[in-house]
Amino acid sequence: MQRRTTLKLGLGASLLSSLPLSGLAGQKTSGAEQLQVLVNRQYTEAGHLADAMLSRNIAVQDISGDLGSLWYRSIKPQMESKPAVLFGMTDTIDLFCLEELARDFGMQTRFRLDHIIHSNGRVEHVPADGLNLADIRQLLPASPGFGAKADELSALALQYHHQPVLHYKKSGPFQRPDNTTLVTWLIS
Amino acid sequence: MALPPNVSEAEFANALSEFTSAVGSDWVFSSDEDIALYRDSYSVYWGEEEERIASAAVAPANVEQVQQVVRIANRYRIPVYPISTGRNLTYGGAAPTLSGSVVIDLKRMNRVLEVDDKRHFALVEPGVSYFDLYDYIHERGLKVMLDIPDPGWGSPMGNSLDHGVGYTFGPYRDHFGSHIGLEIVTAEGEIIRTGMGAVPGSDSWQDYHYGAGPSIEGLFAQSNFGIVTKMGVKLMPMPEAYLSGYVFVPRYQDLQGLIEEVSYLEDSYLVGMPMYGSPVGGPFMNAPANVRALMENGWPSMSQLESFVSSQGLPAWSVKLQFYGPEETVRANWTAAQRRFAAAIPGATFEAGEFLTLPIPDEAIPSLPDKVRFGIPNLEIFHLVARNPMTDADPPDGHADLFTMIPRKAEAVWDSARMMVEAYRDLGVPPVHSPFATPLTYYSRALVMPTLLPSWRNAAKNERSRNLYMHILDKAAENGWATYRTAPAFQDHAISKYSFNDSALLRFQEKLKDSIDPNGIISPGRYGIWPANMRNNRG
Repeated sequence: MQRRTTLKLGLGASLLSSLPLSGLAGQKTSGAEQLQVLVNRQYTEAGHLADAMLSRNIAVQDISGDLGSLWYRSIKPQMESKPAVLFGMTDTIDLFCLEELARDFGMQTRFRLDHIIHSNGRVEHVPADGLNLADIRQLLPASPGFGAKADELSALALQYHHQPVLHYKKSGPFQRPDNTTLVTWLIS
Repeated sequence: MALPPNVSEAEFANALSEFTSAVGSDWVFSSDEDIALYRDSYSVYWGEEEERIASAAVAPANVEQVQQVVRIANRYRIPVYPISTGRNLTYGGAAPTLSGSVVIDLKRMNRVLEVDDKRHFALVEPGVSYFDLYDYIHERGLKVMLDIPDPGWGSPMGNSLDHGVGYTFGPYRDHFGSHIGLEIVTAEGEIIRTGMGAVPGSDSWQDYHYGAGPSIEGLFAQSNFGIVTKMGVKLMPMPEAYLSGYVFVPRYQDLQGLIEEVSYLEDSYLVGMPMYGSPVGGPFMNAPANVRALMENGWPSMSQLESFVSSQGLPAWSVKLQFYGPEETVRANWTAAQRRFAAAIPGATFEAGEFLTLPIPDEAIPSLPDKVRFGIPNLEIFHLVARNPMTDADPPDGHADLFTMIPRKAEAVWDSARMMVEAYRDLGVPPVHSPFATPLTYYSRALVMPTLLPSWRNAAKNERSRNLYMHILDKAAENGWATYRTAPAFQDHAISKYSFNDSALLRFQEKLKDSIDPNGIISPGRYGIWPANMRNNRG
């Protein structure tokens, strides 16, 4: 996969950032970059995102099994035949692994929004540097169910498809035991 | 843009242009965004001036392009740092030892050249990952089994050349020890093949290791004497079956007898990786409160430890034995092992483990625990350890492994655990070891007393981790122990402990370096070997 070829195809990819999610379904066969959506269905909110995507005929891959197996046998071969933008909602460990794996294609995290789900149900949305928190508070509820806001999340993420990388390797593969941290991200 | 040391912007621009002519414009990476891809995720210097940062990266497609790149680097005196998959995270990852080096990313050289399941070997290029090799074998129904590290996203070549290790049968767990035949590009751009590969037209390159005359393979592991572009790998014939069993011994002092019997079984090639534990001592690096209390007034005496063990009603030590082979032999070997332990250690008890026929059926793999036992690459370890008692209070962003090599003696296990506790306390850090700390057995003829120091996106925390790491290296050396592998941040310090006869070993390596790589371009400083023109960089 040639990284600079990916950038040349960005002309097609830039269309993605201006389309509502429902318009993405038609892009899969256009020859432009594909949007590959990855979620970890082990988590309820990620399942909501997946269901919202599927309802719009956007294919979703579930990475709740062994991510390595899925990457090397499915995602990577697909990306070698057609460039892709990766978008998804997973835990931070999955993102850490995906960042390492996507390095083979010269891809980095350009959008990152952490969702800290506290044991009392309260949700904190923590944007990476450069994201406007006020916008996010308007878009996403600070309570369960935010994963269903697939339109809002994907639109937010795709705005950053061509932005300078700010959020790459922001954290490692360890988590606190007292909450669940999911993350919505875009890797391109 | 970072520049290579002692290279002007104009010179570097010219070199990049020549690299581009050699490998194509799509495969030379020099923007800040590109370079960020080659940062070490687990760096103990993240964001600090001392963090190792590349100046550029070049990805050649074949050996001829590697030769061209090396010759260009030599002309401009630009240090280069070859990587295969660059995922050796706790040991430096894709980042170079010397900031400003140009990373030679060998990911495009990703062919599995041959796998023979009658003579049991593979021949691979640097960019082949364990996943790639596993799939190659699996898709063709070849009857061989890999020995892999955990996680499995690295490469057989990269892992072997850093003395990486695995989880199955002894001869295969030592990954460099189970290589057979290398092809190397030298600093001057020549190609060498070792062993029988040096005979033109040889068809036994992956059969006989030594060839004739001195063998030089060891010079290319954990070093900077050349760039390996092909490697033969010995593979285990796919066993027919797997069986595990547990041995429990009652007394604290029974550890010596346990180790002796395990050593007999390992050295007789009767068992795979043994796994020590302590039922009374609790999980390693997470001792229960009553065990930690034993250390409150200093290290407990042997009689105190024996009293504690007998009061708990649990065995002091255990070992999990793993057998590979035909069903008849694995069952017979387990029976024989039990007989030997029973005779050697009064009160030893036993528990059957699993019996599995191999290969594992595809449909059973997703739910199979500990896939590394069967050479099945995966990334599950990241989720397994994401939450653990060592990191729960303050989850880090990575870790630096420190594995201290000790002899296969109970006394060494106890003394090294005590050394670790003292080292942690010296720096005001709560210790993670206890008198019941158990060793790892990656190398079949040595034990490892491990610890993991956290790394962060926080300079102050990283400084504390680095200080503790180096303090442990110092204390280990006082006992005649040292680590076998370490990240670039610690390599000079670690190598300084191999100081016999005024560091004669390092001085010999430096003479070789000056002769083989007179401009010092390949991975300067790797494992403490600095070229003459950079020896003031040490430390």
